[in-house]
Amino acid sequence: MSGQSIVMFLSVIAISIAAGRANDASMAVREGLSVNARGPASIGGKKELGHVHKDLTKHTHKARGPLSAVVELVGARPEQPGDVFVLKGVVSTESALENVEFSWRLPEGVEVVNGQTSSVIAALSAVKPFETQITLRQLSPANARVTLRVRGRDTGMSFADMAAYHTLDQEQIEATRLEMKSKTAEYMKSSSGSPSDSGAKGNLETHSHSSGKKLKIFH
Amino acid sequence: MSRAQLLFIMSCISLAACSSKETSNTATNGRISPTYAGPAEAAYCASSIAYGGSTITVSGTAQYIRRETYRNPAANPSFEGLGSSSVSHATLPAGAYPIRAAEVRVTDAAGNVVQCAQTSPTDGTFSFTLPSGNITYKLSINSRSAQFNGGSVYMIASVLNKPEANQFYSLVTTVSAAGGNVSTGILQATAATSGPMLGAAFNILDQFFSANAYLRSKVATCSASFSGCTDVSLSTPVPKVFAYWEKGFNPNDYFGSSSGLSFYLPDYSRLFILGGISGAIDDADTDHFDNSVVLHEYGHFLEDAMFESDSPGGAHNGNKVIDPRLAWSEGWGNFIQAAILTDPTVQASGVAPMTGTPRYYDSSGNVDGSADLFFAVNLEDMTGQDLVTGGAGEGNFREFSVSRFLIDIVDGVSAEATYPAGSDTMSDDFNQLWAALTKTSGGGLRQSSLAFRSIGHMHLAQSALGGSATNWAAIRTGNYHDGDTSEYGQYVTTSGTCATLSTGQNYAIDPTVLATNLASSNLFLDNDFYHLKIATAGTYTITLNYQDVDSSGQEADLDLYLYNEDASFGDAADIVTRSTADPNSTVGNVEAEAVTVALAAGNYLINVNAYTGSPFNNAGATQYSMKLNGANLCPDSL
Repeated sequence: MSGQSIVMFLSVIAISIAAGRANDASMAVREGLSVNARGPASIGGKKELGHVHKDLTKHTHKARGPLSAVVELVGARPEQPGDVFVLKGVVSTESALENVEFSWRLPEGVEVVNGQTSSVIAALSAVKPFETQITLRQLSPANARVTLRVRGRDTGMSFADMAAYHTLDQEQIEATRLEMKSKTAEYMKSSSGSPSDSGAKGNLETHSHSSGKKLKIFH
Repeated sequence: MSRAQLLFIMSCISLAACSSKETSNTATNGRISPTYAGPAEAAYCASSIAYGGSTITVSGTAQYIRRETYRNPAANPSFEGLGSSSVSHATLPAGAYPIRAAEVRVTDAAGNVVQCAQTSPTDGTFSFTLPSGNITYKLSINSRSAQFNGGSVYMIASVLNKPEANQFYSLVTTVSAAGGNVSTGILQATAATSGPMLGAAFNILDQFFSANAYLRSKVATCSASFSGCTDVSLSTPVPKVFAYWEKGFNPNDYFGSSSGLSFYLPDYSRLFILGGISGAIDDADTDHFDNSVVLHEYGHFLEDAMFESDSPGGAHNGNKVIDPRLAWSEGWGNFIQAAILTDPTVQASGVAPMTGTPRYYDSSGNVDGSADLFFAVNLEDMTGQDLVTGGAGEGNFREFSVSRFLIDIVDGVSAEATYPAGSDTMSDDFNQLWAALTKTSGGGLRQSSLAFRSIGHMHLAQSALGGSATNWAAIRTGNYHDGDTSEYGQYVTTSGTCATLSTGQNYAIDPTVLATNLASSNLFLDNDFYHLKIATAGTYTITLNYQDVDSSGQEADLDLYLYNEDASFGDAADIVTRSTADPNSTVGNVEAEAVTVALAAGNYLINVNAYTGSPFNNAGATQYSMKLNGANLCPDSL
């Protein structure tokens, strides 16, 4: 594998492990779906539409608080006991929060080499994510699920988020998800997303929908 | 072998996939699509079988265990999230509740159905007869419910593992008919992660029972008060819903994402409930015990099955200005879960209803791993994360504002933190809401001529109810709602009536919030939306004329967009045509945008956008008019 190939491979892995909302948000860009990407109006000249995220189906996203956690692998992934690897946690918020707690949860089979396992972010800005790195050593031949938890509060509300990294199985898990997505897209394309006899369409006695509508799901 | 061990083994036998430990492997084997038809679900055991001769009576009680949601309980004040799976846990005990109105099926060794029954809708007890003899039968309490023996219908629902299998969950034991009558005692669907976690499936089913009980308690005779309202009663139930849940499975895997997801699939009546992430449960996002989430999704099912939704989907986090159709749909879901969970009369015996301020709870993990509340939100009071800043009408564009409004019409709380004292005199007005939603005329949301439905349509329909309908104006004001569609989806025709403003134009807009493109512009302040119905296919010209009100300062730049009926804001796929010319910078003259386009008959959304890229965000108040083939487009009624 050439140096350039290695860099590209690591980049793909780094992208693939970005969990949660980052995964959703970047999906359309990474997978070439219909997106109207554009730059600022001052550069583009003519007014443009902006970025609209498109999913496989037309659906909403589960209601979330402002907090978001993402875990990224920095450098090489662990492959066997003794391997040292680095994870970067990125904590962001859509509105400013104070005293946001973060903590790494390390299962058996992983130990800390360097870095903070927990701390409090005194002031988390909406425009500047907080980043933290932790260096870990894989001790076991078994996969370990490392998680980053973040928690915040504001005027009686509680918010949290979590992101996970599987030390040995991350690639397999991501591959399985992509396969599932591919299967779903293929099936929906072949069936045109029309309700089946076992679906509830036949049970909707009160009214029916126009058959030409796009498939939607609600969270 | 203990009864619990036996139940675990038998339960596992009844399911295709049953794991006793967490695994990092995704549980997606055999899954194809959330829309996949799959094999037919086994016929419901709908009628009891009468036996002559010597019989025995088998009786018992079915219960499910639920991890409870705790938020800073006195016994463990720092804890937030799901508690223990054990009812005897010292500080965070689980709850044990009756499995209400669930299918009971008895089969012989060959698998033949020898008896059918249903658990009690009040206490989960069951009783049935079997022929006596030296035979051992299998007794299954199943995670579904429908009409039994032609009697009352408490709900029509099945909780299944996946569309690709359509297998319900079963709490199983064996019964010997060799002796006399048999008491099985209490059969428990447990919540421990190390077991099959049948408690989760039965908890989901029981939320549907509560939802149906709530509707029956509020609108069993709605049509008597408001003509055209759809009654929900023991003889006129809500249609069937399917809930798909599997331990450790994240429905977002269908879409290739690791983010935890529960969702509703319209037209299929299918809910997908989050069972974990890649096999992880105790320290991962789950929704099977998050009754707020389960009932929120059931609320989406009600929209689909009982009235209409035009929600475009998309991201939402409650405290943002979003598409009013999305705000309405999600706000309704938040509301209905709180209405049900705070009503003690519809909960299973022993359930402590949500008390105090209505909230939305979404947990992650549990006390056996790492517990959190991903989202714990106050749905009663406007708070720091949820302040309306744009003034009257912005509430129609905010999910939590919709939720707060709906809660105010049913709760007995007369004073709100952000309302003038005494302005909330509404309570228990759910039947008016339901009438506005289910009527097919009078502006009801099932009226087929409507499109781009949002809470504005509901306000209009409720105001038109007449009879004993109350005036909701005060709480609309308190929640910054407009009581009509003037801010979104206003129906316009060439025979409608327009106001004539100071410049002679008909509508007003004031560019406000800096945005570099359409998709990121403020939907409430910097956009107006109109419902245009094309009756006859043809080529049409739509024009937009606009001018600055005071003829000084920065001139605005208005653009014209025409969307199809899906109308996802800023989405090129839904934009039929647009005109985005720049103004000529001569402040005070009339600027124009125009499109000429061939249109099929149908509903379209006109979007007048004030472009607010710098310096146009500093433009002054502007007035405009719209024309269709040269004739003014003005507000009209549908």
